[in-house]
Amino acid sequence: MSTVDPHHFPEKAPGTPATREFRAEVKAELEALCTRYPKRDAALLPALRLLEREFGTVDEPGMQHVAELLGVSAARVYGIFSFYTHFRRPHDGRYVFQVCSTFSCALGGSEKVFDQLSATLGIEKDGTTQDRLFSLKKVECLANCDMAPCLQINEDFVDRVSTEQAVGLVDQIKGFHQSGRDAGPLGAFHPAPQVYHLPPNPHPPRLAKHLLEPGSETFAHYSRRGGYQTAKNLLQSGRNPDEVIEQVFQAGLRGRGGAGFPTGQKWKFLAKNDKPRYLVVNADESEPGTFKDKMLMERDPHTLLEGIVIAAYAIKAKAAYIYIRGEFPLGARILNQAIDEAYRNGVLGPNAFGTGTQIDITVHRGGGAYICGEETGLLSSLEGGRGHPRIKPPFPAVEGAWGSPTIVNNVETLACLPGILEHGAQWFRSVGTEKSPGTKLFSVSGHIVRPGNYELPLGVPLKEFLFDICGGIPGGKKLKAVCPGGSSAPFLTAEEVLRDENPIRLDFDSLAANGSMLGSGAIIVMDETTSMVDVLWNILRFYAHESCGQCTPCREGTGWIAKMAGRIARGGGKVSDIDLLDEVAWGMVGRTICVLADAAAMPARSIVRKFRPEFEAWVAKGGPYRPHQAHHGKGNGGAHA
Amino acid sequence: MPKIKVNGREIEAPPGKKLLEVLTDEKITVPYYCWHPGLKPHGNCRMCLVKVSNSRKLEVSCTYPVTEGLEVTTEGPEIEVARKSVLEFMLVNHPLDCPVCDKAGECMLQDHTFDHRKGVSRFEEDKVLKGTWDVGPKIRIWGNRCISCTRCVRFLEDEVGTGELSITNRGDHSVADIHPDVPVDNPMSKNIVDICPVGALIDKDFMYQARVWFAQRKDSICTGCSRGCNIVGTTWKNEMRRIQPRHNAEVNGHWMCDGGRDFAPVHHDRLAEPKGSLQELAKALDLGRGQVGIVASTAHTLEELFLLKKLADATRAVTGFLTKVQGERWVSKAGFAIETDKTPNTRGAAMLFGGLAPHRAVVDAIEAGKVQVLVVANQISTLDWPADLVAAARKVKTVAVADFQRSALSDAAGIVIPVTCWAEKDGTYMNRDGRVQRGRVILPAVPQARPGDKPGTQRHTETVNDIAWLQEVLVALKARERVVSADGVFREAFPGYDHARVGANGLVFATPPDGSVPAAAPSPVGSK
Repeated sequence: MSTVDPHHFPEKAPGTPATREFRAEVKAELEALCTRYPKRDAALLPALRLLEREFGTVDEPGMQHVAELLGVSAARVYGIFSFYTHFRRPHDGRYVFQVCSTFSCALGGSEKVFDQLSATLGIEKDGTTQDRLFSLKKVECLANCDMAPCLQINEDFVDRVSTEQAVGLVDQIKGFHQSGRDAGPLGAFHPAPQVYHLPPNPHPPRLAKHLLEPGSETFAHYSRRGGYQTAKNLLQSGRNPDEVIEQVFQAGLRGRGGAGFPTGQKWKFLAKNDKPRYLVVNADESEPGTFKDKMLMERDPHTLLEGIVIAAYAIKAKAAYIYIRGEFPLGARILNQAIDEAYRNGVLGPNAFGTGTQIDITVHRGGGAYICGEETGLLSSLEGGRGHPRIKPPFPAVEGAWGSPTIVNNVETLACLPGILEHGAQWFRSVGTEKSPGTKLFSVSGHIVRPGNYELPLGVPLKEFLFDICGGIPGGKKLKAVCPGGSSAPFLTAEEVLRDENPIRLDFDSLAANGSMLGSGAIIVMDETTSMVDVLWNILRFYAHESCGQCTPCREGTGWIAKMAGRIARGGGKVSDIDLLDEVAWGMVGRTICVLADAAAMPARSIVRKFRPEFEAWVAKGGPYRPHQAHHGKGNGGAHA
Repeated sequence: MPKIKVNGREIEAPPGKKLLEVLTDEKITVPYYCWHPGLKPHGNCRMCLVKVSNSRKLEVSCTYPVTEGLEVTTEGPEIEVARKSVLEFMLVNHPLDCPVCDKAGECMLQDHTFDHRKGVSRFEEDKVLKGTWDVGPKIRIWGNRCISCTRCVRFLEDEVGTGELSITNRGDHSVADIHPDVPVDNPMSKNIVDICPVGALIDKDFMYQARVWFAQRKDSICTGCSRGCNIVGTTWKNEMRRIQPRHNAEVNGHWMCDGGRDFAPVHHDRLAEPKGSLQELAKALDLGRGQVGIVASTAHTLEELFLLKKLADATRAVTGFLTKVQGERWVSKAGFAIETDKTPNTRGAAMLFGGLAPHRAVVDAIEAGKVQVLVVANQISTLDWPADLVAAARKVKTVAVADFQRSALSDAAGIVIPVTCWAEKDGTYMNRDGRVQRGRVILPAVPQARPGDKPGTQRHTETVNDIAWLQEVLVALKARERVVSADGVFREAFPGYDHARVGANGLVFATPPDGSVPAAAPSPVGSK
């Protein structure tokens, strides 16, 4: 286009055609996808996935083609593509090495893996080798924190990757390629099979009971252990849906995604009008340190599906959408298989369990954006937009997906429903505390002997859990800090965790009373060797990278405090910077549409306040020498990168 | 209507309006960027924070619903701190390049910063660099100045419907941008320059043309089509530099089309050299009564047309009209139409002449040998002159042309009266909906001679407009007593009305002001 300054946009990747068009079968596939949503443009993210699958990349002519097919503007497709990080860029190599650089993986040494790969491949961050075989990226939390450091190659995960192993993988792929075999641009290369584990846990499990049994993800296995009976009985009994809502309310189930809002209460807020209602499952598990929903979905998808059927019945929704992170291709595959099985067995469809009740479930894959875990950001993304959170009120229960009353629930929350319906509210309340009843999955990572998922009754003392159940700190080192609820939670010092009188307990209220939060139940442990300056820089980089960019204080503030933390960490800080960081962070709190700004500011403030002497000492001696590194790079590694 | 209390004062809020709209209507100043009265509210800039009784934290007023009994505070230490803080964030990655920015002087960021902040920044880090590039043939973007308010995105998506811009990337790399292969190129694109609250989107035609604090701004209306959008013209050093829309809910809302902004004809190929004299013309008309042809245009003002009609009556002339109908009617998603009738006063001409005879009527009369004196008065810019008229004019003994641009006809005519164009005169036009609106002087008239002046003695200060020469000729023909202003002619034509009553937003004649003016004008040419 001659009228547009050619220098702004990167040169098109070699071999990019002038136009692209899907084959007829793919067009038909896209049309079929469109029918799953009330509006065509909601199929935008799935359409980009189709581009990626068909052409190996999402490029400019491809985006124009999708825009035409879906009847939206090309700029909108481009804006969406550049918002999500998980799509293959036109300049990406055949194998994209994505090193998780977020909190838990950083504690596990992902920086070394990245540096080694950078040296081996001879490319920088976001670079591609001359032969266009390899690209190297830093990505944010891959929800594999117990297996830190984690590396994702195209769509496959490599757990606990060492520098030697990373180099070995490069050689392996090179050899693979030199011998003339090509695994294709996506997928078929499997460096290692996915391994699941649950560390020993004295507390009797409810949700985690069957996760490690072989075949637990199949319909047959689920039926054998009595699955879908509860949902079947419920639908066939024709029970008043409001009674179900009341039962969940009585059980005191609180949302497991992070906010801990009572689920029954949320359902009661549903607007009473004649618009269709939607159930949206928040499977965009991306809070750093959290990896519980991933395991639930991959190992026990049918419990989730049964929970969805129960919830959809209770709130009178005919369609449910599972919004799953783009980084979980395996989870999406397993869920789709499970849904197929459920349709085949009459659990889902227009006549669920032969009762005439219609329940449809659609898996909707995200594109790599933390903010889509925020419920209204998720809805924007589901509708085919950038994942921009919306102003509340109206809350989704009044005006949610496509302007209809919508309930957004977390995966684990819904997985609790079959148990509540089967055994009753009192059974659910029989463990846990008065205000935080039931069990909850906790994802433990960082400097801990036995990282992994633990199902605990709410209210277990944090100290007891970390030292008696998780095995304490490896190498006989001392505890320094704990982040109790994902990196958005204000940090706890060792003294706070270790104190014996009035101990901090793992439930919503105890943590709130201690100035932090339970969040998603992601516990990240730091030993005495951890530099809190580095930790601060790491988590702030994450939030700067993940800010959607809508509200001014968050868009500019997250970047600012991340740069400041980086300057301090690299040894260029002053004492006044510590105060300034605290002040700037405070300026972000409570002034934005969603709480991402708060999620960045609150832990930042807790770190600089609780570990101030460390910062002062660091600043005084200029910190350890470190070569200058780019700040948080080129945003999302988007099309401009 | 819900009653609310703002800073202790009770206000009745119209239902359905958001808080900021109510406050703005009440002239209570609340700073904002992303809100625009012509667009759906979005609530992303976080500048319009106020304290409301329903909430513990500050709320953005642009999306806040008004409910009975709401108590609102718009000033106070807490709010001031928040505004200062939001502004500080806004400037973190802003280049602060006001000295070279075309928006400087009319920039909301500059204004609010002046109001709320000291001139110091606590930001010491490297700024994110986004660059500068063309987003289309007419518009260039300065990425770093962009504050991601999405006004341009919302305008293109909701108003025009073309949606060429989207916010791209995220976090502090967010910037409004196009798909690399689809530039912003639509008939209303330049509105995004006007609504950009900062200097991110710049009209390439205005780029580096004038500092707005040296420039003059004058209200008028656009004469580019029969819609008559309300405009503001920016001039500097007596040259037109820019045309922007002026809000008129009845006509154009907040917008106008790109075509209407094209001011080039105002300065292009102006007719400067007079030929013959008005006395000569008056004498020829006097002698030729009954054998006169008058060709006028539908771009003349109501006042001029009124006088042309008088002239036609006095000389018993056959009349015809030059018009300009072009292209297809274009309608935006939100219903903004660009008319095919490219002249502003077709309906007015039809009203005053009791219908519109085409110029062909005069050509036919010439060919039938019934015309001795031909007067062609034109105000349509860049007119594609009808060949039959040009050819027929050769057969007429005395040809007078009053125009502001050169043409084949003006070259051949014996009497040439160079006149002012629409931007240099006062007068009224009746748009396609029957609304009478004032066109006003934006520019001083181009210094030019009057017919009959001796070479070198041009009276530079006196504008030669149609109003003047028509009245002078009428006086010479004894069909009129004196020469008056455009307002005077308007009052004469429409008793009971004057320019002041037409006002800034125009009016529709309620009933015929007098018997001579029919209430319902014939259907205008070229509009549907």
